[in-house]
Amino acid sequence: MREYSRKDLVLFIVILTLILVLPLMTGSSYILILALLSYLFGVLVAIYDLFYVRTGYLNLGYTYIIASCGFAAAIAINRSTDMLWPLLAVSLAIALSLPMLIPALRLRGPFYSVSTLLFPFALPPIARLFPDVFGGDAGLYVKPVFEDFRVLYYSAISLGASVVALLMFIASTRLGIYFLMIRDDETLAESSGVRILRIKILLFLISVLMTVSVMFFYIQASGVVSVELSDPVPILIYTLMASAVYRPGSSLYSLISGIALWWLDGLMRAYIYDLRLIIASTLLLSVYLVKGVGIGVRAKIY
Amino acid sequence: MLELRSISKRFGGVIALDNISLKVDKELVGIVGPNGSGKTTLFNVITGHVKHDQGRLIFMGRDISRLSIGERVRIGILRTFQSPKVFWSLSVEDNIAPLTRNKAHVEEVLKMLDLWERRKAMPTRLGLSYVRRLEIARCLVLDPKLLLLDEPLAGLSSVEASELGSLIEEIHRKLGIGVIVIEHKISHLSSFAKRIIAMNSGRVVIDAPAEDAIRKVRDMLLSI
Repeated sequence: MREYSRKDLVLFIVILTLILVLPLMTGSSYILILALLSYLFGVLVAIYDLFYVRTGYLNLGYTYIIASCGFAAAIAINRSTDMLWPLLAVSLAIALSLPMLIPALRLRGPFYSVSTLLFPFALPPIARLFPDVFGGDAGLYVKPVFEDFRVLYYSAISLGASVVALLMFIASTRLGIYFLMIRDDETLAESSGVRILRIKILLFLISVLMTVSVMFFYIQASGVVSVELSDPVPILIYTLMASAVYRPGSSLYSLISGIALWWLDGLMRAYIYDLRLIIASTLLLSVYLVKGVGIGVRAKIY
Repeated sequence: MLELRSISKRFGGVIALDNISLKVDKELVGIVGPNGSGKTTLFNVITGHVKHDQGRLIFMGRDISRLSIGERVRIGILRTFQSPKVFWSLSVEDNIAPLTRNKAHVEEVLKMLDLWERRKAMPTRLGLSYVRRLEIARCLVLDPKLLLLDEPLAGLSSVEASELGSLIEEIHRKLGIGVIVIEHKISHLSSFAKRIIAMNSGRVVIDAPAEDAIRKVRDMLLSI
């Protein structure tokens, strides 16, 4: 199966180039931080798109994984004094996200989705219960690892590009087709020798590893991590909408729409905070209407 | 090859399989019976989709009762389903090619089932007869030792059914594997099955060579 055309690859390179040259075009730190956060959000959407939309395991609690990975990275950076903090961050991220694997192994379809939705709402009370660890409602300030913003900027862009390239590679492999098989008919996939359990565990581990690596840069750019990250509104809504814009499950187009959506949200936050969700939703619904695709009519997932 | 020893299965108060004992070697066997006679449940028990309540399931000398669906697939028990099941969003080739690393085998199977020319097509574009072939191709590419086909001829015209029946016979002969086919119409089975098993109310009521089985069924119907 040929997953990506030459046009897709050119588009990926163009987007990457635009983000790479942005610091040469503007000196505004506000714009650069917004661009970086939008890009990293796009990468998170691309991860979600491959591992949760392509497999049909629509995880409505992905913001819990995002927040857990953010906290894991922050705790590791703030508390670890040696170079072992990446290992600590990964271990913490897996430990915190692990409960989410249970519904994936036990449930399917809407039952799985609804059960995952509970996780983001569980995080704020836990954070309040352990303020020394999670910083309560205010969250944690993150010790800066990069002294120069440009180093942070380009390192984050490189990491994001590597993650997206890896996602695109996975989508093109046998594993990527297994994801589609599982989405089409899990019973049939199992009856065809596809090792469902192994794939679900692998999928979980890779998605957490990728998310924690992206979140490391995200919290470095934002300087803080709080339970707000686990709030499904607007993060989950934007994630779902961005992945549904074009060729759901392909990662590439969800990256682009994720960047655009977070950028738009960032700009609107400054001026029309309360209206931003309505405006973003209306814009996306217009895209769905024009394109004739949407979350509800995903039979033709690429 | 496959031996069922006193297999029973109940769904609540309904006895789906009632103390079934059977032996199937590398032969082409047909199973007939009315709706609810336990044919598909028998397949489900053999493939692990349904756990039986009593009895033992022996495959190639090994008790497979506790094996998962996937483990049974890996030891060579492959099946198709009553309603056509393929991966609808994948092309014909992508339905089967990722299941094996042997590309030559994929080509061979597609050619054997007359799907090679249609390998780039989506299953939604295929007629039912070819969807059924694709289901069989999916099994063949995994090198089955025992192939279970659940009503592969249902919904086909008599010409298509006859062609597919011949193809099933050819697969059995060429590959030398055990094939069990569930069918509603005994007339369809009689053209290619060498042995016919008739089921009713979860029991085996006839188990004989095809010609004898047809005669017995006719006698039973006349006596009613």
